[in-house]
Parts: sequence; structure tokens; C-alpha cells
Amino acid sequence: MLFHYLKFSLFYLLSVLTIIALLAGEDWIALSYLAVSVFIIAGDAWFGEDTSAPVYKHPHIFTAQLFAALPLLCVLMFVGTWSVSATDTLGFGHWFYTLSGWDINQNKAATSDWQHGIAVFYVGLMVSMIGTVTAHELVHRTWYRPSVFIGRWLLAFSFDSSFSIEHVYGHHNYVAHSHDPATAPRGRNVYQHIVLSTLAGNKSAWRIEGQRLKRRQQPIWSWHNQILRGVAMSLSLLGLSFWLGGVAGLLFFIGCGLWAKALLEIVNYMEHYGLVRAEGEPVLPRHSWNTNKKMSSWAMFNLSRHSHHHAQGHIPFHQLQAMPHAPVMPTGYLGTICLTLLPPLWFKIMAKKLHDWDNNFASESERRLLQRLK
Amino acid sequence: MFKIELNQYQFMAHKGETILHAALSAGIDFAHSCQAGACATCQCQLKAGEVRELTDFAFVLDDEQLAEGIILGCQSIPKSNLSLFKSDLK
Repeated sequence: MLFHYLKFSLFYLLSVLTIIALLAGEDWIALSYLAVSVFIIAGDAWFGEDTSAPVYKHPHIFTAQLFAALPLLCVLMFVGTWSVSATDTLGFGHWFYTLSGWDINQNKAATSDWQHGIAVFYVGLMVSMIGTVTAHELVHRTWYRPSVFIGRWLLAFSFDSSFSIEHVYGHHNYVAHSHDPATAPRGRNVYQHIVLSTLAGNKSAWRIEGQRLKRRQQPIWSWHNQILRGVAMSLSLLGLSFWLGGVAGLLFFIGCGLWAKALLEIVNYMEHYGLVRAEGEPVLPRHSWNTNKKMSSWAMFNLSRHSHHHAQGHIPFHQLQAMPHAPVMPTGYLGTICLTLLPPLWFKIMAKKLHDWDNNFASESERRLLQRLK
Repeated sequence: MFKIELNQYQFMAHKGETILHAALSAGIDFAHSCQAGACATCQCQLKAGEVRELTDFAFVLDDEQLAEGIILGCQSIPKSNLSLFKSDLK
């Protein structure tokens, strides 16, 4: 049983590895990025699936783990902005040297611009894993304010606090409908989706929040507006990154945040690509692509059990079931992300899967809907 | 455990259980969809009793509905015995 608690700590290990790689600088950054990616992708391929459903007696341990993502992300982004800044920000390098004897200032000086460029993509991936994935779980816990508060701060690192509104009250309502910003229709490539879903998602969040404020008789241009508060949160983080790392630190933070946001939209893309739901049909496991691959499940708090997540949006991650009969995405999360980036290959793989979905999962009304969409 | 009266039905809800979950467990065909508090398919009218709201109902219910005591079944946990009315319940 202890293992079932420990398995969701995988992201700590990966985060610490990222921080060490940033401190080591030079080629260690690319090597570590490659090692982490291969570990997750190959691990998913080799270690198979986790379909277990233990009953956890101490779920508060998971809540503490989710909350710990915020300080962890702060440390990661501090080290990241420090690693690109022109000076030894706050004397961190010197302090670290006196503590450990490891001259990280020298490592930093020896790191080239293109190695820092790789770090943007590496840290962006970690912002997505530590920040967005945990935030997704936390903002669903609308019954507990500290969860939503921490979740929204985690999302602020990728300029996307409004996800806490659009995802819960928009996407979970409209999933697999043609007007859902996060559900990609057949034939749309991932690059189009990143732009279109970002624009439509923000527009939807503004509409939903505007409606809520109107009903609560609160002005839209005020502190009550959660979207404006989210923008202020992201701006404060940008200000902090500039203060810590100068222009380089600011650009580093922006780059990581944008990549993390793009990864979120890529994940949206692969979780629902091409699926449809007839008007009036309840959200069911067939309306999401699922995977039970071990590394994806353990490193991402069961986000991979997406079919059950959408069928019962209020269920905490540790209670999600594997749903072995749900439609399955090509492989684990990181592997599937890589496939989406190659649209011709993606379309070829998904054509078979969608054919299977149409014949074996879709309801009669959904088949009629698909005929109309052709 | 709290007793819930819903139209012509009566059933019990365990501590911490949502109205929707308790109704489904009792074999009642309680209309629902997203179970995230976003679609309002599970809306019903609270005629008597108290519930704990798991989300801000103003995201999906309008002024009139809020004033009439409409609540979301999937996002409401009984705090007392309840009397409910659901217009689309057969």
C-alpha cells in the first residue's frame, strides 16, 4: 500500500533532477531533458499499465503533495531565472558554494545561449507537469477554497489562471461538442489548435465569469473578476522574474510559461481529438481518450484516467478508475504529445482509432451527427 | 444519514454524499451529465432543508433560479433532511 502513496511522488524526483541540471548548466541541461523524456516515454512503453484502484485511507497526504507543488515551482523558477541572469542574484551562487563547495556560478558562466534555450523547453515541460497538472486537480476542488487559490497561482506561471473557470465550467460542460474550445475537430492540426483553443478558451472564460459577476451583481471591471485577478497574478510573477533575473530572467520566464501553456493545449488536443457528443447525451467515458500507462499516471496524478475524470468531474484523482474499456490514446502522455507534433503521422494513427470509435463507441445519434459533419 | 424526499421518492444520503450520488444509488433516474457543476442538468429545487454547496452556483444558474432555491444535485451535500422537487423526473 505504501507504494501506492509513493508512486504519485514521481514529479518531485523529476523536479529535483531539473533543478540539479540547471545548477550544473552546459550540456547537463540537454542530457537531463533527454533522460527525463526517455524515462517517461520508454517507461510508458515498457512498464505497461496501472489499472489498480486502491482505497486510500489518508487522502490528505495527496492534498499536501498537491499543495507542495507551489513552493516547488517557485524554487524551480527561481533557479531558472537565476541561471540566466547576468549577476549572482541574491548571492545565491555564493551561498550555494559555501554550503556545498559546488561552484554553480562557474557552471552558469560556462553555459551558452543555446543551452539556456534548451532549458526554456525543459523547464516549460516541468512548469506544465508541476504547475498545470496539479492545478487542474486543485481547481476542480471548488468546495475547498485553498485548493482553488493554490491551483490558480500554479496556473499563473503559464499565464492561464482563467483555465480554472473555462475548464471547470466550460470544457466540462461542452466536452466533445463542436463549440467546445478544447475539443479539436477531425482534421485540425495541433499547431492550429494551440492558437484557436487559447483564443476561444479565454473568450469563453470571460463570458462565463462575466455572467457569474452579473448574477452576483458585482462589476466586471473590479477586483471581484477572477480573470483580472489572474492577470494581476501573472504580471506580479513577471515583475518578480525581471527583478531576479533582469531582461534575460523575464524572457526566460515568458518562454517557459508560453511553452507550458502550449503543452496544456496539446494535451487538450490529444485528450478529445475528433470525438463527438450528441446534444442531450450525458458526458460518458467514451468522450475522452484514456490511457493507464504507468509513468503518465504516476507523474501526472492520474490525469491519464481522463475518461472517468470527464464522466465524473468532481471525483478526486486518487478515486479515478482505470476504465479499461474506454477509447485509448496511442500511448502515454509524453509519447502522444510527440506524435501530435507530427500531423501527418498523427492523422494516420488517429484515422484508425476514430474508425474504431465510430463503429464501437459512438451512439446512434452520434453516428448520425458524424454523417452530418462529413 | 439524512432523509431526502424527492418528488414521489424517499431515500437516504450518507454523510458527505451528494444528492445526485444518493439518488442514483437509490436507483432513481436523476438526470445528470458533467458532474462538475457546469451543465445544470442535475438542477432541482430545494423546498426544505439545508445543503453545503461545493461550487458557486452563480456560474450556471441565473438570478431567478437562485431566488427560487434551485440547486445542483451533483454539487450539493445535505446538511439536514431535505425536501426536493425535480421537474424533469419521471
